Amino acid sequence: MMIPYLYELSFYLIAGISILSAILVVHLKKLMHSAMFLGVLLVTVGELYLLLGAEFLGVIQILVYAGGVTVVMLFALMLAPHYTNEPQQLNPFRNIAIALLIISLSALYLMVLSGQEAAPPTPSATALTDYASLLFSTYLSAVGILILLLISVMMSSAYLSERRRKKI
Amino acid sequence: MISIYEYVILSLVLLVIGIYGLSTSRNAVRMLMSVEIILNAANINLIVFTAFFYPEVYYGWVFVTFMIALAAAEAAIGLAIFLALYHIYGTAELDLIHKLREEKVGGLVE
Amino acid sequence: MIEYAWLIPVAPFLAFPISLFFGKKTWNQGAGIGIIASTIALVLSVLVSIDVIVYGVTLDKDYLNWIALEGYDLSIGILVDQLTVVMLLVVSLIGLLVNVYSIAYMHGEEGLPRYYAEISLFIGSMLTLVLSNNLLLLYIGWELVGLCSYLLIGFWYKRQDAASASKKAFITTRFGDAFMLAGIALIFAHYHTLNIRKIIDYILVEPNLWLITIIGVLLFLGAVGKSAQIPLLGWLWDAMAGPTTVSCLIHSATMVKAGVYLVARIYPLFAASPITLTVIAYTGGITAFVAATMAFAAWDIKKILAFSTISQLGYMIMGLGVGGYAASIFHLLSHSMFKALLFLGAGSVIHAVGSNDIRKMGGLLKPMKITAYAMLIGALSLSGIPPFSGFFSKDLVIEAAYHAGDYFLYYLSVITAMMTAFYIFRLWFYTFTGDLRSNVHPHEAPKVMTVPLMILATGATIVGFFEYFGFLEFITEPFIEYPIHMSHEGFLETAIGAIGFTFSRTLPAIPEFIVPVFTLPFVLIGLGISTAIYYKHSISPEVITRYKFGKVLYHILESRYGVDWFYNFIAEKVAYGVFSKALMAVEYYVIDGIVNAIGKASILLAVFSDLFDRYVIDGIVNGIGKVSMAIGDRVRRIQTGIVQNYISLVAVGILLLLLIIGYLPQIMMFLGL
Repeated sequence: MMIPYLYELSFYLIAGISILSAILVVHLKKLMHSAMFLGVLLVTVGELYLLLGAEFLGVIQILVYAGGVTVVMLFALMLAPHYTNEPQQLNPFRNIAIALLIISLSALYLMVLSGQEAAPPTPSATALTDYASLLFSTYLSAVGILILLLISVMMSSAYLSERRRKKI
Repeated sequence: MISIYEYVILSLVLLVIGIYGLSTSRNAVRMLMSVEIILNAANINLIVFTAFFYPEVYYGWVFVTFMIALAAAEAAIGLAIFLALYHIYGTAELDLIHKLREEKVGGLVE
Repeated sequence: MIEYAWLIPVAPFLAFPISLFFGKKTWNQGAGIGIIASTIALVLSVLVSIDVIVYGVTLDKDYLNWIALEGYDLSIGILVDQLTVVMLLVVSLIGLLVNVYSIAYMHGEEGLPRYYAEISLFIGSMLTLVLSNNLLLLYIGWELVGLCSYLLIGFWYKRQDAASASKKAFITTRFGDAFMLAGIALIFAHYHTLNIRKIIDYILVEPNLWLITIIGVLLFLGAVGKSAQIPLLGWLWDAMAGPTTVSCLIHSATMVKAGVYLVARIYPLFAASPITLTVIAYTGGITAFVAATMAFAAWDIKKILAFSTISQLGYMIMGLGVGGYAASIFHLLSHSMFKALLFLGAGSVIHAVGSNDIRKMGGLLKPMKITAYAMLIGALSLSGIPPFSGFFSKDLVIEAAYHAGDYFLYYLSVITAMMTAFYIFRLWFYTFTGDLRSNVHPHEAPKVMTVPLMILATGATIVGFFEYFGFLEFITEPFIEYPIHMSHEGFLETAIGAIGFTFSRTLPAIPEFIVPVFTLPFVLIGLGISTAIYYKHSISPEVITRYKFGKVLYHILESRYGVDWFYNFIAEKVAYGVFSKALMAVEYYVIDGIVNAIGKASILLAVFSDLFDRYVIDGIVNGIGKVSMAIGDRVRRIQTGIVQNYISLVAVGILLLLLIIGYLPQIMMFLGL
């Protein structure tokens, strides 16, 4: 169905949500709450990617960033019991967060369903292939280094975060 | 029509928020989160410029890929370090950890 | 053979280093080397002389250009003519005889290789001197013989009297040599050459009278030094402190003759100016007289002979001065013979008795027959008693004075001859007659010493007859080509010659035919007085000292007319007192003043630079340090240790950087670049 200015509407909605989430991340007192809104931010940024026709990257963003980094942060926060002396309460902001997420996703979904062309032209069918070939030919060495980097990060973070038995 | 300016302004706003959070927050993990915001702002900028100006060439995407990966790695390491710091100092408030500060300020050191 | 004349000095010159370095191991510590060298020299001299005497050949050849100057001729070479031949034979013969004699006389002395080396060096130098055809080589030889004289007089250098005597000899002769060098320089400056024959040519062609006079007097002063004439005669009697052989070779027979040789060699230069001639003649004549008187009061046998040498040299020089060139050279030849004889004989006596003092001798006639008779021949020859050589040669010289018209010199020479006879027989009687006045047991000298004596005695006897073999014409051969201006005409008109002039006017003239025999009676009178006093002892010499006048006279003669005192006075009071003190004052006040001032200035500079260093430079350095510390102190405060501060600063910095980069063109335009 054709909603006029759907694209613009979607954009302003998603953008507003992202800015709001960012402010909340910085502002909220409790770290858990900040982490939650960070997740919202990351998802909305991914949606923006989708709006701009970078499908692959948008999905990667949501998967890796929102699904990975946020989770890691939450784990780290949970491992530090100093932050929460009081018994865990329900997060009052949870509902707001969920609401924001749903709004943004729906805006995006509508965009997709309407089939309306985005302001920037739709990427070509061969976009992914070209991108992949670029990644693996010209930037192959960078990819290799990145792999090594990730491996070393895994090892070093595992080492760094192990409990020191009364060493300090 | 959403022109490029909107996207750029968005990216700029996110960047500013991120910097503000980075310099204001006392907690280490919050700083890390602000860093993530900044990085995302930069990524948005890249994608936008690829989409608007370089439709057939996808260098921006490649760069973003690397940045996502690196941001994730850096977040992991950073958290590991902050955990270690927390174990050592008993706090994650970075302004209380100032071992690198000059102790004696003022007067000639002979 | 004459072309090889340059070889003559070579052997003796080579003997010098050979004997010096290797003499210790050779026969008699170097005597062998000396004898071989002088024999070679003698043989060569004889061969060359044959060419000159028999064939009349002469040689004037340049070998080497000393310095090549535009328009100046300074080449050295040799000149062999009749005069050269006489000198060559005399020097090499007496050199050989002395070398042989020294085997015994110097036996057991330390430093013998040095002795023979120096003797050979002397012989070589003297031969060079007489062979030279130019004044440069002659002067070189001149100085070399002076050096050898110094070395040999001071042979026993550990003795105080020998060391001082050698110094005195050298300095005195050097004093004369300085004037001689001035004369040579004048010649070179004016005539642009030092070749003797060329100089003579120039002089004969165009004599510049005043220049020639000055040059002549200057050169003559060199001769005065070497030949021990007044006023440079003080060194010769002190030179007797050296070995007797040295006294014989150098100070009687050869080196002292160099002065005479010099005048004879460039005779036309002297003969061209009557003033020079009168100076020469009167110097010689007066020296002859004065030296003879000094011999009266001497008790050292060698000193008596030394005074005698000075006196006879005076004769030769006077002879040259009055125009008796040939007579003078003839006397040179015969004097060399009998004076060497007398000295070697004296050496023999000293060797036997162990002392030089004739008061310690006496009665040596019986034990030392050969020596005694040889010395008798020498004494007779020296006195001028026929048929010995001295008679012929001395008489010719005295006659020359007569022919020059100078009666002062003539009578003076005759009286000197009388005195000569007196003192030499005083010596002979004291030594050989009477009783021995010391406790030694004298014996005759060994053959090596007596054979030279006999050779010389023979020479002293026969040389006199050379007059009848054409010696005089032989000697004057060179001047056949070069007519000499015999300025007799001007001789008596000069300032000094006026003395002779007045004498010739006041004293009666002697008839011509008496002149050759006029001297002989006076000589015999002298001989007679001497015999009476010292042989027959009829008159005692103390008679003279009884009178005050005699005492005073004796005192004057004994102190040699105060010559030694005069030399000391000049050296001490004048040279040291005036000049040295003046220079010392300059040194002390001027030079030291400058040095001290420089020192003080340096100190001042040092103080100033110290202050500068301490306050200015150190101030700057310290100041830099202080400033750095102060700045660092302030800047240090950025390091708060609080991460948020760092982040904020970074963000602000990046913002500024972006702004600048972004607006760079406008900024550049604003700054006008």
